[in-house]
Amino acid sequence: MPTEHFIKEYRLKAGFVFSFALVLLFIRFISNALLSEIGRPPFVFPESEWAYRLFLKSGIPHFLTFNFIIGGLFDAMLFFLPIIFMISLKRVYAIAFTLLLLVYFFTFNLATGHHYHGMVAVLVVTIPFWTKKENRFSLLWEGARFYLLYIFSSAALWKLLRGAVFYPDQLSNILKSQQLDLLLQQPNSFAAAVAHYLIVHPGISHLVLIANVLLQLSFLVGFFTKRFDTALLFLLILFVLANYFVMGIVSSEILILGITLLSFQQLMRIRRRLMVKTEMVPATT
Amino acid sequence: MKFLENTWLYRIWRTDKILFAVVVLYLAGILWFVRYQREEFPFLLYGMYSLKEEAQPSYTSYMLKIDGKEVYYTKLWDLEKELITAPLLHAVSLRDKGELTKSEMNRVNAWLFRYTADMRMINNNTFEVYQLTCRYNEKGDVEIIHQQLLTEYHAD
Repeated sequence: MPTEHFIKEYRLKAGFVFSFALVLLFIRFISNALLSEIGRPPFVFPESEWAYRLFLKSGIPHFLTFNFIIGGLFDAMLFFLPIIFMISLKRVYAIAFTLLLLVYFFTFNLATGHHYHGMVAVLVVTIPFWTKKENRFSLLWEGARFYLLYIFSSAALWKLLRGAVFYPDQLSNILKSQQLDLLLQQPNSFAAAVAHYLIVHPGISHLVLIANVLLQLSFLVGFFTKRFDTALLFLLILFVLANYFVMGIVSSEILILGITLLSFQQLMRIRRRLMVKTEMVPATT
Repeated sequence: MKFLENTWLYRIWRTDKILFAVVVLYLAGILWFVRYQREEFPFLLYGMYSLKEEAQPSYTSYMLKIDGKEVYYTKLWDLEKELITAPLLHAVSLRDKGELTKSEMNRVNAWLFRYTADMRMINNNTFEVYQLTCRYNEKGDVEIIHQQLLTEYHAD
């Protein structure tokens, strides 16, 4: 039997994760990126990864996007499942949500012909809720935290091992292609000014790249201790902001994994203190 | 030894053998694909622009026009922009390599037109894509050196 303390913490974590997932889905909704909104993609791009090929062969992407009503129902389920899970805490809804999100993830990537990985963060952080066994949940939750650490450590190590970080013109050259559309279409914007400055000052952009690699590398410390988790959360937010202003990449989805860096013991204490305070109000007045 | 007993993997091994097997298989998969520097879902490597990027003599951008008016897709929501530019870039590159037939290219164009036009509530039926060849001058400003009509689509 799960303890009362565990249920409370589980509910709090579920609230954080699934509310955040709803916000991310809402952003996709207003960005016209849900399945009922993307029209009828032709799915003509050849796929190199077996998982995508298999999914394409299943006919699911065509089935979900070729009929507006079916796509609409699918999208509605994506919003409905997190809500019902947060209310009931029945793990079947969490499992269904992860699976539906996986279907969405594959379909969207097949439609664009580009494998975006942002949604993987949401998939990973919902997996612990597939179980309500205290031990298994805690281990999976830690696993989700390790996945975040892996993402950043891996990014830093690849840049070091491939030598990209030692190449002075690396970021400047990346920006020339990455921000070309922006420089052509919105040359007077703030982001374009940043990109232009970094392109013409490769020395500064190299320093920015080194700072970025150091930021990513610092996530390695999380594999050994949780003492710096708050600092890592701050670095994660900093990375997302810098990634947007320098590279023009919106990576807000990865922020959901930042929830695993929060101290829920502390949050529970704060919550308890707040509840005590609110209970005291009628007694003292 | 005490250190090992505190590790996450050891704790999984002690409490949940099935989960341990899944995690070990996943880690083995990651290492396998690291060896070949290749990504295969769910074994993602997260290079994040780690390949060395050389300066190019010229860069390519695309200009979209509906009803003769340019679509400033960088002003759209990020996902909308991605939904327009990613398939277009991919399709053009495949077509240039002869890996996409004319009819497949037409289907991509038709979809892009529908998506872009629906979003902008435009009831027109012409969609043009221009390829812009650009270069950076010594001041770091972009100059368009060549503009070419790449593809056009007329809806019925």
